[in-house]
Amino acid sequence: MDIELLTWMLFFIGGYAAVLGLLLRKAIWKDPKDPLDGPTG
Amino acid sequence: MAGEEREQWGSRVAIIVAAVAMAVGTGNIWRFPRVAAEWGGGAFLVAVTVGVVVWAVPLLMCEFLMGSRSRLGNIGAFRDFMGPRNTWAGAFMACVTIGIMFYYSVVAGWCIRYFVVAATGGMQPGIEGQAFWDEFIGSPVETIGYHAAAVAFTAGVVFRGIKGGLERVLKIFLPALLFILLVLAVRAVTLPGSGEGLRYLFVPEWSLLLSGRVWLEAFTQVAWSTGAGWGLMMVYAVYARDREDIGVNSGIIAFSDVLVGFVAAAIILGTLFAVAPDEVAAEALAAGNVGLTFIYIVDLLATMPGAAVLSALFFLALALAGISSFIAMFELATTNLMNFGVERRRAAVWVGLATFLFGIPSAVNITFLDNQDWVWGVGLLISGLLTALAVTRYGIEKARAEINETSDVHIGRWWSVCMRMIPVLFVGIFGWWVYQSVVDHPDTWWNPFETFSTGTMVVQWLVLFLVVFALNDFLARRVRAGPMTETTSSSDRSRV
Repeated sequence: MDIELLTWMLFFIGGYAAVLGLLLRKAIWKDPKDPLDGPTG
Repeated sequence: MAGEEREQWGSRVAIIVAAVAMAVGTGNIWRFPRVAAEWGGGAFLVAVTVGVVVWAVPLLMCEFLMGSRSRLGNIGAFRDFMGPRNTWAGAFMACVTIGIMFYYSVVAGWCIRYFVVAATGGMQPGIEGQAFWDEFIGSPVETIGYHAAAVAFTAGVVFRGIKGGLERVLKIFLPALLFILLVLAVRAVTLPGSGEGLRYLFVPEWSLLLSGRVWLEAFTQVAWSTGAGWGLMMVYAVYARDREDIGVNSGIIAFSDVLVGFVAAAIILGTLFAVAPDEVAAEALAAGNVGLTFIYIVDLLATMPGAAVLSALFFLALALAGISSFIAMFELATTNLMNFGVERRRAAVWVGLATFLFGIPSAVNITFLDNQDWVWGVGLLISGLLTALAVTRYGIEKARAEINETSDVHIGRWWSVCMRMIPVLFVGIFGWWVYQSVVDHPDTWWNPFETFSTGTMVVQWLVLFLVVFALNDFLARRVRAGPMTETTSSSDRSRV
């Protein structure tokens, strides 16, 4: 696989995974004992 | 509802899993790769990302808000957000999605059939995808039989309720689907020659971002794939726990859906370009959803080492994706029926019988299925517009404040701007589809008996509009009252 392709794959997949990770972290962060069961739940 | 315990999802993870399973459907596997490869790869993905932010996430938040505040299905939610005079809008949305459900169960049946054949070793080298498809689709006994199997399974799930049925099944289906897709993706990207397919997907042709068509295709893909504007999230939110986080959950659903699309595209395009000569790969991508998935993929997987296992895994993933979306549509119809005072189990049986009967024309006639896909698929854009109008009527800033009350992330003014832009986007996307229909079929675009004409869309929508307009007052009175329903006439409405 060439470098250009790897860079773009990382950019798109990594970008989406990072946003998703941040959102999931936000959901878990407030109440780590009950993953995904945030304070508002 | 007095004295009756309200059904609800068991946890936050349950509603997220159910909503992601709803959004991830067959379209992620058979449509996204095809359209992405055709419309500029990485440039298309940039346009998709903009679409997620300005169309999908705002609309999913609207649906979440409407369902969780009104605690009613689409018909009741629209009555309580837009006023009793606009109850028809909720009925229109519900009917469009139910129209899709009638043929989607047939497609789910095809997926089950292909999985059964693959799992029993029927997809070996030498199989001819076209002949295999023709034989299957030409046998009404088989197509109706598998359609019935899909309906029976789904009715059984919805029959058992939110926690005992949907939550239990979807918590198995979604992880299984994601695991299978990851296994297939690893296999695909490690095939010699797969890089060519991946280049089609990820490496941008920036000049295409200047093309209006790329943006239209990207927004259409987002509208169809994420489930925003279908009314499904609205129904799942009816069963959300109090003060469920609307902002973060909607973001998770939309971004997960697109990420799964990336993985599916890596599987399809990586395999296609690794196994087939470039011209055959291009031919397969041009063969449409059905041609690509049920004909070309069958041919290609059969030529690979481990064909039996790979085919079984691929069609299992497709079946899981199809059924998990079908469950959401079935639940939409069931919840709306329950709001008229029908008990869940009875409602699930009635919806099952109706889905089986009204799905038969699509099971025996693929032209009819194509027509329904065209009419109600484009109709979803109207449903999205109606959702945005309902929240506009309710008050965009008021809605944003309520979303922020329960969100762990602050939803800024961008959301209000997007809400105001949605009608403009609708005119652009919808206008394009009509224009496309006229250009592609210059002599027959007006003909209501043509499969893909503007005429057939307009006539079928008009019939639906007339019916829901005529029933407006009846529906507004008969749907039970929810926590938002004005009490002045609640004595007429509290029938459950």
